[in-house]
Amino acid sequence: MVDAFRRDRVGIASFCVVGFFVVLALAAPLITALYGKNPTEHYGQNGAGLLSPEGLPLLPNGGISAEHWFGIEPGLGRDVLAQLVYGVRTSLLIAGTSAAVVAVIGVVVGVAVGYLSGFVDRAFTFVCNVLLAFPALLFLITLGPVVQTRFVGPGESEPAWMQFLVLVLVFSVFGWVPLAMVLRTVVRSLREREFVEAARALGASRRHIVFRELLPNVWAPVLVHLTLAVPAMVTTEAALSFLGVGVNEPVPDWGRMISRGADVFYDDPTYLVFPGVSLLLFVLAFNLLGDAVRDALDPHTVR
Amino acid sequence: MSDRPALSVRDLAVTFRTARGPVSAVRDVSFDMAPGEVLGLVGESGSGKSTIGLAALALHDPARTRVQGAVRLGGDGLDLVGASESALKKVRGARVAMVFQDALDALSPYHTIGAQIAEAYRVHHPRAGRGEAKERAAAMLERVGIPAARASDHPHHLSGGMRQRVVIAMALINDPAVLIADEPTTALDARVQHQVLDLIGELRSEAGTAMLLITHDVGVVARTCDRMLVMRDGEALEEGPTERLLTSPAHPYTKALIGAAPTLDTVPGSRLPTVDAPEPRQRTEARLRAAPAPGVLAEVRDLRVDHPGRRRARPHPAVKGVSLHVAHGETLGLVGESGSGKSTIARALTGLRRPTSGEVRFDGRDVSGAATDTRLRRELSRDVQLVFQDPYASLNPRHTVEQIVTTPLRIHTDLDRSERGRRAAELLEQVGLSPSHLSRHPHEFSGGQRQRIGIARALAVRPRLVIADEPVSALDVSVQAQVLNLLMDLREELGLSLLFISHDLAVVRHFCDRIAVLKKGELVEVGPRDAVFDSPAAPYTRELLAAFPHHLPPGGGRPQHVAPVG
Repeated sequence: MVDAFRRDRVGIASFCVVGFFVVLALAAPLITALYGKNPTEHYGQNGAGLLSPEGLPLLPNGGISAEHWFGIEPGLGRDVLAQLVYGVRTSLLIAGTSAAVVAVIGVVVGVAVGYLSGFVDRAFTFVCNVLLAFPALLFLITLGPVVQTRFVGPGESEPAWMQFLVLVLVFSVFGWVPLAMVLRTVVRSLREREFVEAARALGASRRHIVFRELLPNVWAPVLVHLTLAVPAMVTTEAALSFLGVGVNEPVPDWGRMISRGADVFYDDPTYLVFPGVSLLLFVLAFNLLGDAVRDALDPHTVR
Repeated sequence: MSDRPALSVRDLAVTFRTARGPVSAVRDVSFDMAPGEVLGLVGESGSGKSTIGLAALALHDPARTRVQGAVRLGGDGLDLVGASESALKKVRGARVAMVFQDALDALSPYHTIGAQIAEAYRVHHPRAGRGEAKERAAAMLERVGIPAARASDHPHHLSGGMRQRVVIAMALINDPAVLIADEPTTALDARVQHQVLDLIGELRSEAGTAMLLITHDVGVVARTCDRMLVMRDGEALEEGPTERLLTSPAHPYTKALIGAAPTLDTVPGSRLPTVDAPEPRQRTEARLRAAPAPGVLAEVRDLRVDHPGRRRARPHPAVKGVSLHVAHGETLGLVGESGSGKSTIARALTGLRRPTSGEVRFDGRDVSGAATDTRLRRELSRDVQLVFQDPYASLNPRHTVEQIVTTPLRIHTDLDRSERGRRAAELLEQVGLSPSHLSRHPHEFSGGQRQRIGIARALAVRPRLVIADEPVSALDVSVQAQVLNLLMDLREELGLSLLFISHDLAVVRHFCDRIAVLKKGELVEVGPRDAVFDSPAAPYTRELLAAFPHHLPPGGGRPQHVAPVG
């Protein structure tokens, strides 16, 4: 399988790009320290000669200079590169945590239901249908403000962990359903295979069959599902922040940067380009990686 | 007969393009088929015999296959290699027809059999009206022994043998000059196989069709073919009249292929010749059980098992009141056609299936509830182990050989990791594999090696009873001989008691001390080997024996069915 992946050049390239973003996210404090900026300081307002009175960068191309490599933010005058690097952290933290939760719930529920069937299976199908019928997007948009008004006092600002938690919660609640449904089908066909009966004939317990015989055979679909789910969550998170219900100030976030960039697009188009291109690159690389993983795991794929 | 061959193959070479470079499937094969002649193409899986069949119809995908040489048809001498697609369309089905192994796959489930046969006719007779095609189809059905009234049935209404007859009717409706039959009877029970082969023989001699019969079964060739061609690894090893090749094969491989499958004449319990050892030391005395069994090890009493009906249909009985026992140190053979309930009895004895009624006892203890009681099944599996038919499906593809072989040790013993590893190495040696194979995965092994892994797993906890459910029927004949030899050796060494399930009478006769014959879930006959084979009491047993193909004709003439003695 590793060999098949190595032969896939697109797969290798996308794997490198994804790896690069992950390193950026992990090493964000180190990178900004070396670069000498931090993502929250208002350089434009504190220093002279960077922003015009209208709040637009004075230098051409969004204020790109030797000091601020990707320019500065219109209005508050924060450093774009530092914000971008910390923005990867936000996206990956939310998407990664959600993916982990989705994987655990999806695998446990999917494999258990696939193996047990009967009443459990009917109950599961009903729950899945309810969750799939749920207007997930509306739920995503409304839950953030509801939590804020319920748990946060009028004067205070919502703590960052609570914003993250709400997003992870919503992604997980709806995200495990498709994975569990896929795994249920996979396990239902696996348990009819003779090697499961062979394990039963050896005297294996249910636990042994589920964990030692079935689980090693489902990690391929899980891996494929997750590599395709992570970019979807990253875009959704960016979209929510764009709509103003995702991650709030002062936590750096790509979606909010894009939203701000759209506001000032006529006066400062450069500010929209950096987060937009970063998001595109990241999602594209992750999707290509998902395709490559799927091809590498499936011996029947012919190119 | 004209001098011109009906089909002439010259220097045929077929190469598949794969991701790992070209793979040669057939190299320099040449043969001729006279009109009305039956040529048997014999070989084991991977020998390239089916590839030749496909090449004779130019059915290979040109994007992935390179076909060289010539395949000429009689009459106008059209070369099918390199012929245009439109020319091939006129040939396929009209001048060269094909019968595939799996009749259910070859028929469309949505159309009636009459319509499918009529369609095959109309493709090559565009001016024929619906009525004419329908009449022809009905007549053809009658010729293959199916009442014309059943023309409006769908394939799933028919039995396996009847489906294969329909496929033959479709192939013959356009009076082809050449018929290619790729394992036409392999999926059928012996009795039905017999009928279908006779039918093919009759139709062929009526119409003068030349037939290429592709098979792995030397018995089928002996019964139907004038000449045979032995293939191995894509090369033709030996060609000649069937009788000569069967009685005095020149090539050692042919010798092994012919001798590898036990017949009803081989000495029971003798070592079978294999490709590596074509002439093992022969035993002239039949194996007799060393000591008469002192007691019963496992038994079922009045066992009934019902399969639950689909969609509220009534439950369908698989086993209807069978009483059987296996004595200490004995090998009991369970014979029957598909659907006779052999496997269900095995599963009831291993605690995988709950009996609907009746009793299952092991060593005097009632174990009927083992299917629902995990603890009881666990205790039972300490002593009773199962070897499965399909070595591909019964090994977990994601596990290493070590994990597979040590699973029973993990469950039943408290050996630590290194002790389990040692025992696994010991087991692999016992079944003729190298301990260096421990870290590999099942897909790296051949079918015979996988079956050895399955046997090693069954022996890991030193069970007292091994139930082998068709352990060799998915294997090639020479591999089958190796696995049978191994099982015979292990039985001697370990003093195993065995329940051996098979549809192959010769294998059962060769391997077992006592035989039980099942028919549709009922026990027809049970008795010592020689009694059952030499003087069968039940008419059904006699019928089974009569249908069984014999290789070596005693008088050198056309193979006869040996009439059962008694």
